[in-house]
Order: sequence, then structure tokens, then C-alpha cells
Amino acid sequence: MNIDNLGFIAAAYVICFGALGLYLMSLARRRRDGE
Amino acid sequence: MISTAAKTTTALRARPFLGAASVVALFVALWMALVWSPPDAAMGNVVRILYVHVANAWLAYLAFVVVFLASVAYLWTKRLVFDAIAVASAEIGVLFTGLTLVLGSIWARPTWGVWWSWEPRLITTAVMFAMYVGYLLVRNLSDDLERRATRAAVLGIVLVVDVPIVHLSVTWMNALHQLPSVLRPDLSPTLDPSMLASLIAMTIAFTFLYAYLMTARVDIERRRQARVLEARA
Repeated sequence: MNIDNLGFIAAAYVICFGALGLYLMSLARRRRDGE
Repeated sequence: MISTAAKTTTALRARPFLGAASVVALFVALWMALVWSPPDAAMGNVVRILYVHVANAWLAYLAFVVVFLASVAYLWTKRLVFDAIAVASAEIGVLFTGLTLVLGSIWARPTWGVWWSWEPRLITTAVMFAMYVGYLLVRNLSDDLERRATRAAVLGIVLVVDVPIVHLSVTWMNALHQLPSVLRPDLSPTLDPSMLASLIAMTIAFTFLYAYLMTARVDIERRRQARVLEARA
């Protein structure tokens, strides 16, 4: 199966959910450290 | 005041539900966006980027409207919980706006042939991003809780003006960015029903995620406020 622009689509979703995941991790760390 | 900050609120009790709802809704929305919905006749599969791009943009609007409402509520009541809501929503709104710009750029490269264009929607969105980053930075100019909250509330009320400007910029000026397809003045979406359903599913999932992030971030800010008030006492 050939999906056009697969690299762009994959990059968009990885960046979006990667950034949200990093933000969730930062919230957990700030809560743990009592910031 | 300290006991108020420490007490468990309804929002905190809802956090596990919101977390679970976010995960389930995101799985459903991802399946709809990446598998179920068809490729666009003109754009092909790259249209799938728009489901997360538009959801991020709408949630950024919502986040900054919440900053405005919480700012008005703080100036009205002087209750610090509203300042906590404002800063939490501003921070999450900045994240959503940043993602809107990055995802739009990734979509634009295969569609327009460029990563960036100096056109009204992109410029006003970049200005909105910079203004709310500024809002977060201005908050650090004072260590006094009340002074900081008052300054931030005034800023939070003024800055919301950019939200309708961002949304309507494509209708006011000739723009490369496409016109609104869903939030139109005549309330008649121009999208294919399966694409519209996928976009709505992603927006619902991001709304649950926003609510979850808000409960976590507000809790952190309330604890910080309680520590400052405790140290002052």
C-alpha cells in the first residue's frame, strides 16, 4: 500500500503527541518536586 | 485561605475520569483520523494532519477564552483560585498554539510547497503565541501573589482580542490559508461528513485532554499559592 506524504503525516502525529507527552511528564515532575 | 487551597475540589476528584476519557477518546479519534476517514480528493492523505492541526487551534481559542473569563472573575472576586485557572489555561493554550503552528507548517510544505508564508492567519497566530508567552513571562516580574494576579488578569483580558482576529483574519484579507470550513457564519460546514466526524471526534478528545491537563496544572498552582501564603503567615 502506497500512502502519499506518509513522512509528513507521521512527523505531525509524533510531534503532536510527543509534545503532549512531554508536557504531561513535566506536570508530573513539577507536582512531585512541589514546584 | 490555606485550608481552601488544600481542600479536594470536585475538579480534582474528576481527574481520573478525565484521564481515562482522554485516552479512550484519543484512541477512537486516532482510528477515525488515520484509518476510517478517506483521503481528500485534492490533498490526498495529508488531510489527516488537519485533524490534529484544527483541534489544537480550536482548543487554543478555548484556552485563551478561559484565561479571559478567569481574569475577569479574579478582578471581580480577588479569589486566587481564578488566577490559578488563568495561568494554567494560558500555559496549555501556549502549548496548543505552538503545536498549531508546527502542525500547520508540516501540512503546508506538501500542500503549498512552503513551510511558512507571511499571510494573515499565520502572522496573527504567531503574534497570539508570542503574546501569551509574554503573559507567562510578565507573571514572573513580581513575587507578590496579589500584585502578580492583578497584572496578569488585566493582560489576560486585553490579549483575548487577538482570538477573533486570528479566526476572522482569513475573511478580512486575501489569504493563502483556506477559509473556515466548519466555524462559518452560516453554520453550514463544507466538509465531507466522514471528515467532519473525524474532526469532531479529535476535538472532543482534545477537550477531555485539556480538562485533564487543567485539573493537574491548577492543582500545582494552588499548592504553590498555599505554600506562599503559609510562608507569609
